Amino acid sequence: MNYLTEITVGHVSEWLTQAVQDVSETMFGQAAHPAAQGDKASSADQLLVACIGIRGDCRLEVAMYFPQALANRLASLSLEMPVVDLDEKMVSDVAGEFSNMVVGAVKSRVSDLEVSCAMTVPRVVRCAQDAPDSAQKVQAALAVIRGSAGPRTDASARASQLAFQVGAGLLRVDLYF
Amino acid sequence: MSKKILTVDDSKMVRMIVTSTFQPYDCVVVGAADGAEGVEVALKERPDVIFLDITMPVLNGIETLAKIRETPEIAEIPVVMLTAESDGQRLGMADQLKVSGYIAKPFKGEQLIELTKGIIPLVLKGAPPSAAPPKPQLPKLPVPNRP
Repeated sequence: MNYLTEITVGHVSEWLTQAVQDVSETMFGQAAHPAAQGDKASSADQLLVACIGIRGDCRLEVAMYFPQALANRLASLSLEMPVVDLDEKMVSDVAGEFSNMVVGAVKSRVSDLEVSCAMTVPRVVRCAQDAPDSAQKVQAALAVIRGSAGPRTDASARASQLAFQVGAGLLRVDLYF
Repeated sequence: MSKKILTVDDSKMVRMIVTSTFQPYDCVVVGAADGAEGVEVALKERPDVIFLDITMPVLNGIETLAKIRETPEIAEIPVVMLTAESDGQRLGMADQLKVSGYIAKPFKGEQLIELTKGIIPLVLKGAPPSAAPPKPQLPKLPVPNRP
């Protein structure tokens, strides 16, 4: 029975949290625990940012920030290859698929409420933590996901920011809703 | 004779996990990175089972499934949806196109094996012929009364 009359940021954040924990544990054997909002990857870290969205009667975008070391580790675990044998494409693919599974789980929850929607294909961008153009790169990827060239004013502000400790790495998840 | 499995997924990670899951079995796993390529590979390789993602570029999984079902040479191949989109809407659409099963991502390799065993016989590599599991039994149909 559809008992929700409105999908809120709170619902989506809760579904995202469950999905991150489930994907991390099932696919990578890594427990993921919610971390404090203030926790931050080292400013020297390279980041892989997986951007993905849901379109239709429910519209949202998600940007998942994987520090390079975490992305390498997840790729190594899932592909059963040592980190030295991985190339950039493989690591980006794993980050993209992680985001696809997480947002797929959220999309399933939304669809089960009889809201018509579809998922986009993920886009992964590389940037340096705290580099001046990092935010621009991420916003450009999100704009492609949204299917519009310019920034969407109502989505330009983050609706919610989550963080997870995944093994030794910190995964940040921004939700635009 | 080796069984052939086709995995159609835009993620190399998923294709590699499917390949390594069936590695202990007498199977050949072939892959395709999108739906259009999946139809092409299915026509060329004639797999025994297809694992099909939904969210893919070029042709999505539902469009690919429809294409498979309308192509006589590959129309009868069992298809299992392996997808992050496991909601009723998507699965209902797939159901109309006669899918043999669904596995929701995230998934474990054992789920692939269990579901596949219900569709085709799987034999461990190097197992003697006598160790081969029996073929799946077709359900018995009622015998019609003859005049």
